[in-house]
Amino acid sequence: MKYLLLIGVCTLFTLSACRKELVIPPVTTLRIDLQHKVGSAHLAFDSLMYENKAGESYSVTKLNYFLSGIGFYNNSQLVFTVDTIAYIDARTGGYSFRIADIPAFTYDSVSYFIGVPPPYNEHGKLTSTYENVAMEWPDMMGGGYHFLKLEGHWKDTGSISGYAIHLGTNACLVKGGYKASGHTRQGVENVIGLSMDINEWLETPYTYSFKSDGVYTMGDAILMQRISENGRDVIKVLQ
Amino acid sequence: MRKTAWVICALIALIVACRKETGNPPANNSTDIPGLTPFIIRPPAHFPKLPIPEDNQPYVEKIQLGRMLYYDPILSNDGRSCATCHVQSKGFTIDGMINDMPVLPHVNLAWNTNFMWDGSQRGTLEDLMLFEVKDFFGTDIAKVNASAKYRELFKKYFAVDNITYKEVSYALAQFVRTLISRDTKYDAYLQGYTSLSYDELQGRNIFFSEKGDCYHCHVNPVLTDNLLHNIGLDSLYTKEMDKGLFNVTHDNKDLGKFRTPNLRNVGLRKRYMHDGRFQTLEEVIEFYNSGVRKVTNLDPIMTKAGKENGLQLSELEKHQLVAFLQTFTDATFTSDTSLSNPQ
Repeated sequence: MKYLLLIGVCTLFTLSACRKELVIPPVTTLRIDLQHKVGSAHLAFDSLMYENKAGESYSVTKLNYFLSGIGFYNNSQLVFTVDTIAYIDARTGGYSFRIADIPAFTYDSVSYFIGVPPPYNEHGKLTSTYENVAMEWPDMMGGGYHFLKLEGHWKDTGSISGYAIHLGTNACLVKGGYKASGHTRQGVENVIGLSMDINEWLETPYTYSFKSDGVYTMGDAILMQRISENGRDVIKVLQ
Repeated sequence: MRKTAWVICALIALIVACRKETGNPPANNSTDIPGLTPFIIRPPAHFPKLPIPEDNQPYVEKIQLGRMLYYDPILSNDGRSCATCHVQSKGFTIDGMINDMPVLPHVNLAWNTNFMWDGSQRGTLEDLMLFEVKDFFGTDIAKVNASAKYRELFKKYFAVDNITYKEVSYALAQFVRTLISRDTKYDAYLQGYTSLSYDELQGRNIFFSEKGDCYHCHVNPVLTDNLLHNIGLDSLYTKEMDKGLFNVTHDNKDLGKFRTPNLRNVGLRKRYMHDGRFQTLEEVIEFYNSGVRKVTNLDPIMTKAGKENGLQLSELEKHQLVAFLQTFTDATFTSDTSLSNPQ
């Protein structure tokens, strides 16, 4: 009886100690695909063929940004958050990332950040890759990281000039959201497509004009705030 | 007694069954040779992670072999070695020019993926070294194979009887990956080991603020963004060499684009820009201050309102910026005997 008791206690203890290591069967897998568009067309770099709401022709030569805090909501309750701060260089094409072993869920809206959430928006808080380091926002301008680098050229009555829309600092973190309903299913890879419309950076609520507002946002709190607000609906969920 | 043994066996079985695989995964390095000494390249903590190809992990012996080759004229057919144009005391470049272009220094190349002034070489360090050996030097690989010393060393370290361009380029890449400048005054400042003078600090403020806006391309702390830009050096591209990336892509948007040079040891250089047109840092800064040409593909970063006519720095500010650039000089790098000629 004494031995049986000992066996029981030891077994329970051991099982308890290694319970964390037991493999739990995957519930479902989520893949998020991201694409970049201007209006309804896929983004083509270096081509001065786009027109913003202010009526100015423009091109895109660089689009680098951080996408983070993707959250799925149902009835205003957060049901799932993607715990990733993704660096995206749109020149390399679309972007895709996969999250495995997550519970199935139903959602009716999606939220996101463009930028780095405040707890991580300090030098050295992100993995020290070359790309992340190149996104650092200088200490003397507040530190942290660039949230967005959108650069290109635009045409003003015949002459071509450049523009550089850079966002950074916690106050300008883009907090966006979009109504979109759906659900993830067990046993299959669930794909959710997201699409960034570059035009949206330059409109709604603020119609941004390179000519009247300026071509360079970095260090200009007012311009950055306008761009940040425009970014709230820059990403949509593809149904 | 039997019961005790049973209890122990049961417990062992449970523990073994539950044990998590914690060991390192088997090395995925098909070129691993038994007996070689793994070498850990440790850049400072404030540097980005060092990318190293899985199939050319660093080993002491391979690095030494690469070092021998770097300083050995056997790779060329005209008596030159890599070190002929990449002199350590000059920061692994030279004062003069080759084909009317300054020699880009071999410094911190391990982080780069674009090489040459016009970006004509891309890929890994191994890819670059393959170009240097096969195309730039036109190495007579039979000559290398005829060397008993190299035959023996490549046999021992790369397990090959017949040396090919690949093994030579991999050995060179092993050494060049260790050419890391990490010990400038600025690095010491970043790590809190030293302070900068007033002028150096003011220069830093110019460098890392919108006043100078140097940091967008010369990113901290690597001091290059590894990309190509048109910075408005020319409005007409009369010489082929001035066309830059255009000569690679034949796309007009790439006219006049050149690779951002690494600023480490910039104070030691005697020639600046792709054609060496400037010979002092003061001249370089004066170009950014008042000499930028307004071309249609000028880098967007350089089109800030109010700076259409240049940075508009005062004489004092220019002096302070030069003072800060001098803090990128790395005397350790230029004198480290582990990087020098092994002969």
